[in-house]
Amino acid sequence: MVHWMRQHWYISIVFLLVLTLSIIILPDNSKSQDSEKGYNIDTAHSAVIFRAKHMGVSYNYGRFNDFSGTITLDETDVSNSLVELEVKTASVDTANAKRDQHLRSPDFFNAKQFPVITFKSTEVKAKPGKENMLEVVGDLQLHGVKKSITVDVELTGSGSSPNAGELIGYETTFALKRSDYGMNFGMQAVSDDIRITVSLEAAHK
Amino acid sequence: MPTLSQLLLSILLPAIVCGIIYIAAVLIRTRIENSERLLWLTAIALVSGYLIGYIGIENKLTIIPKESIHWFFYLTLFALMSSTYWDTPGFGSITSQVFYSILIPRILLAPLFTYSWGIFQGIIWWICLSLGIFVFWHIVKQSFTAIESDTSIPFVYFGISVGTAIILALSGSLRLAQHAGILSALFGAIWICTIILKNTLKTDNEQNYLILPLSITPFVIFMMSGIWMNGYFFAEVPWICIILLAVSPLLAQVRNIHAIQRLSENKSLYIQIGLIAFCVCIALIFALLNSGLFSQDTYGRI
Repeated sequence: MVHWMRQHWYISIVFLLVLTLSIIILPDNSKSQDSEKGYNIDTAHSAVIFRAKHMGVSYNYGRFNDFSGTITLDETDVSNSLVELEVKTASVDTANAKRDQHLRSPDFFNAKQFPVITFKSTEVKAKPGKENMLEVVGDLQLHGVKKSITVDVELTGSGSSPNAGELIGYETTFALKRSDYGMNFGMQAVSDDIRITVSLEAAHK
Repeated sequence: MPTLSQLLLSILLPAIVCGIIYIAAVLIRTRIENSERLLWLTAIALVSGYLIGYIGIENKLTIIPKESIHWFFYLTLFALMSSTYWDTPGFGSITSQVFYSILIPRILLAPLFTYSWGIFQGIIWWICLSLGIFVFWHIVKQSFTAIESDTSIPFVYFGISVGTAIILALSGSLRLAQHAGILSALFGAIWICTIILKNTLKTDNEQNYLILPLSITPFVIFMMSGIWMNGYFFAEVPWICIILLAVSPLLAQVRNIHAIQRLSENKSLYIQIGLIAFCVCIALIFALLNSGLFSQDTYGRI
């Protein structure tokens, strides 16, 4: 083998040359992959809250208790980041069992026919001139209707925990019209405008 | 709570339209030879009225159904289509009965087949519901022949629809309750029109045209079973209420009991209707007890 290599030393030179060229020519993906971090949403320290006006008089608040999701964060290029959230409609909780039953019925969320609300980001960009603020564009699927929405997201903090490891926190509040998603029933009793707050704490995978 | 304009659109207007078409259908049939071919005109009255009410509640016709309720529009069209050949004896109606009994649960409960039920559970539910609809078909059919009074059949189905609407409202879906409310308005309108026409049409032959034809049974089956299935599977209506409502028209068979047969026609009719009403009332009591209306909870009272 050694004897053969000595006779054909030029092959080693060609091999080294190809290797060097490939390092120079091929794009460096390792940097962006290293800077992308995956986080799982910690539901115990997160919340999906909504508010609606009742009879045009007062705001009633509710939350969803069952949701899950992931955040993929690229620290060097935020546009590579991705947010995915899935909320179980049957977990709606307004601190009133009868109202929750009504909200799950075909009058509102129709929870058995539309068991999940999903959000998947399609674009993430930094808000110019605003530190810790992101603009997230994504597809919200609610009540069987998918629409693109844009929300402002605030980085509320980051840190680490001895048990969970590296943590990040985000919060967004946005408004939508439920009629846009085919939830038209009972407009005179429950407002069309719904304000939603999503506060997430996510732990590094 | 529904607004006044919603009530007008979903209750009053359907009733008026249905009543006018029903009166026109009866009068046309009295003036035309071979009027058996026009029995489907009564179904037109019900379908037209229902579609107006449907738009009143849902604001629009959803051509591509997204929710189970959106299929109600197509169910009315299927009912209208079926009504054109329903009174013709032969293979067509029994084939349709089997076909629709299988089709209706599959299309109305599609989300449950997708998200909730496994293959085995789904097939079991599908078979049970198809059989249930097929049996209900025969219950409705026999009630049309067992109740020998032109004004009583619409009254019986008016009562069952009102019961359904109240049970749905108590169980938590005002939207479905309003759909049942349309049916109440339609059968109520036909009942009133039948009473008016009974005094207008003089001969017995003419009054025969007031008897509701079997061609409307597809409409009754599709809409009732559609609303009940939605109520049970999507709005938490107690199963006992659905069973009681579905079997209530079966009590019309009480007329075949020997002791009842010996009574006068009016008395046996009152017993028939009384028993059906009793069955609906029991269903209402179950829904009332299940509703939590007597609890301290103020939700739904304001």
